[in-house]
Amino acid sequence: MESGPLPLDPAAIRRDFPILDQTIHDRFPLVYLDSAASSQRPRQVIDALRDVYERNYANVHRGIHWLSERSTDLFEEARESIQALVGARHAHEIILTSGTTAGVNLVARSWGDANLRPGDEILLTDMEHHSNIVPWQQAAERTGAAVRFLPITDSGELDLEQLDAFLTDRTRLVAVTAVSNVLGTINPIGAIRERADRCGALLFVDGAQSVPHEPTDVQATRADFLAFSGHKMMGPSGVGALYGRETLLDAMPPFLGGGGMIRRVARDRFAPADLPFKFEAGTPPIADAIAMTAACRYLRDVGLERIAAHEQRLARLAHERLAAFDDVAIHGPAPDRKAGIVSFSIDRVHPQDISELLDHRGIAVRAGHHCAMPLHERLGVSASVRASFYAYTTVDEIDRFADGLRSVRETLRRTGSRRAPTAR
Amino acid sequence: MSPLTAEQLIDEFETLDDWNDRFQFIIELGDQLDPFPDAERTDANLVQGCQSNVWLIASRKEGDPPRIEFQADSDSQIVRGLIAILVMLLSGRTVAEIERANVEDLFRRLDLRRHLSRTRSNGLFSMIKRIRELASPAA
Repeated sequence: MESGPLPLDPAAIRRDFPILDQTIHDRFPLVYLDSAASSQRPRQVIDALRDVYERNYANVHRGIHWLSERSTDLFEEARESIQALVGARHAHEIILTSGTTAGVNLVARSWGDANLRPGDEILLTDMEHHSNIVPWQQAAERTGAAVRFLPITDSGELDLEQLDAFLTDRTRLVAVTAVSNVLGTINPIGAIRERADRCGALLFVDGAQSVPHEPTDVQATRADFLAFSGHKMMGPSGVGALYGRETLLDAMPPFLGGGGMIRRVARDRFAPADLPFKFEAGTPPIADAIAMTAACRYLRDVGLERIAAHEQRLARLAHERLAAFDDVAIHGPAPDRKAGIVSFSIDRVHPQDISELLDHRGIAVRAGHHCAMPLHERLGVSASVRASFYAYTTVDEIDRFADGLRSVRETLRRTGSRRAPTAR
Repeated sequence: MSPLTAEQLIDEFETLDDWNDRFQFIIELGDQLDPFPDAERTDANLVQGCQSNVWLIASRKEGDPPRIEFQADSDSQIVRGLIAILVMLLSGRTVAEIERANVEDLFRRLDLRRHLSRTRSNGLFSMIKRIRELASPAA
């Protein structure tokens, strides 16, 4: 018998996700395999959103009135839920943002502009999402620092043997994804932390694909920064969080200026507010942030260990089923070293044709470069097809996906073997 | 390739009630495209606005009036099929005929708009636009 957490029951979970219970293109049950792009959210989160607008909505941290106090309490409760989810020491180490991208930009702008000097280096990897590349390129342009990329191996894992050569006394920060959004690779954040320590570099972790799918503990991994998005973790869209170590955040200048982020404003100067408000200018996505409490609670109740184990089982099954197709090349490592993401290419077949034909069998996957063009260049393909799973994905759906892919391959390969009917 | 009129295409489509068969039919139409010259697979001949690569060239066949011939290709088999439909309808026609042809209406009647992804149908309209540009006497 397998050890570890009790397997979760996706059929029971699906009852909380009304959106999954529908028929598309008139006759196919929806098979949603695009959770890496955006997850679906349970009734509990949708109810929480409605509840805010129906009973608890007012601007936060502003009014001295009952409703504003109420919404502010709920808003701060959401911050504490997120704090507990990632194991942060203090609630004020959680900055509420619009998502992962905003978190990266905040650190690249605020920490980057204040600390990077010409000749300094930022180490990224060849499997980063554009969101964890471009803000660093921009910071490098502004400061004269250089961006370097740690290569990956042919099996789609970080080439740790080269890590020491890429970490120099000029490396100021390592920005790495915890889980690749294309390959599904689970990166050894702990090992990278230890090696980065030796050259005194900070560690920025892109948690967009990891926080929703596996337990996270920023104190155990000793990440300096961790950015992630609500919409990928069963929460609302438009809200996310940046964790930053208190001493670092305290020393960083504000990024966006505006209301809510100041202690005092005079005509010739301003004094920023304390953490976390220093980094939260303007009216935040109030209802969306408050509903994050329900998302965190849902993930906690289902159990992130069980979710991770479930997705790994699905990935293993998907690999087994796809291995039967000799023309399908899966990108990334073996399923025991990856999350619930399976990207693949079929020789001489356009990924968009595959996704379009799968869609007409009810199966939602994503085709494209998945915001990771440097990675695709390394893989030697311009685009790929990605199927991604979550707690609500069933074994039956993996079967439907594999059966769908079998029939799509037949459609696309039959070309040339038969003449189309012409004028009669 | 054998010419097919818009009406014949619609008739053919209606005999196929399953969209997977329709896609199969579109893909097979693409298979009948004349081979595209490798030398013309250049960036200059790429149609902008398509997610897959689409190469399109036009030549003028002298006569009274002159007729415009198109050749095109794509690395997507579905797009090749759509190209085949455009070539069947528009290649070898006069400039006036090309300007008059209501290709958009045909694609609407084939219900392709609803069944092609948004990026695909945007790409399709980029192709039609490019064909008209190449056919116009100023080009």
